[in-house]
Amino acid sequence: MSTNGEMNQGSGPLVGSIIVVLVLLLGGYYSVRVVENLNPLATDLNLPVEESTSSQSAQIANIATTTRDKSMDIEDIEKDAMEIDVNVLDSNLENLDLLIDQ
Amino acid sequence: MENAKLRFKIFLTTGLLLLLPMFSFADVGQRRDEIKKQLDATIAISDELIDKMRDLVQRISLNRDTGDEAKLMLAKAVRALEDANERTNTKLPRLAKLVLFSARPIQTVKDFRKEVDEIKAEIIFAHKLVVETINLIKTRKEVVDDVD
Repeated sequence: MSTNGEMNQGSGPLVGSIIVVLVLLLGGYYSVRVVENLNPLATDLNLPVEESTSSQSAQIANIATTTRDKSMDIEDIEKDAMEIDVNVLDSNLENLDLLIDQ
Repeated sequence: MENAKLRFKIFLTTGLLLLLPMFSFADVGQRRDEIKKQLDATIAISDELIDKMRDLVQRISLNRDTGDEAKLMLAKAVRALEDANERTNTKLPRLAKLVLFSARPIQTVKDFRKEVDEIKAEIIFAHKLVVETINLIKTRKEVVDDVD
């Protein structure tokens, strides 16, 4: 026949064990997720434009094709050439520096 | 009784302490995702710029007023764009992976930036040639129109 003291003694390790098992389960789930992300073979770095953030999409939209693009007229070609801004390449690098410095 | 309470507290504390690194890992994962987004966007923008430049070169070369001198200048622009394209599609993704998986991203991000600067220089060079070619064609056209 067990006393109250014996019952309480038994619940402590049980609760602790449950916590440890839960932590291990969470850890296992998380590491599986991280390993998927870390695997270079599973990582496609040339993501389609749709996956960029809204500001990045806006930058790309600035250099996207317009209706004038197919014109062979030299004036139209000149206008399109003037619209090209190579400095858009720098904007993401600045964000990158901020993230790396964190 | 007291002994059981103490044991329970020890287990509880150990469990909570084991949970702490999980939050830290979650932060690292989020930051890595954010860095990857920026790297991907840079590669995508570079690709778009090169495509846009190639389109311009193609349209100029199809223009009926484009002479031999202009075509030679366009050939130089094409070579610069080919080099930029090669760097964008092979070197940049490789360097991006190094930034993501490196223990010292500060150094690897410098290499990535250096490569982007090289690509930018190639595109600027090609753009300059395209603008010069356009001006050449316009000047020639004006002369021909005046003669007519």
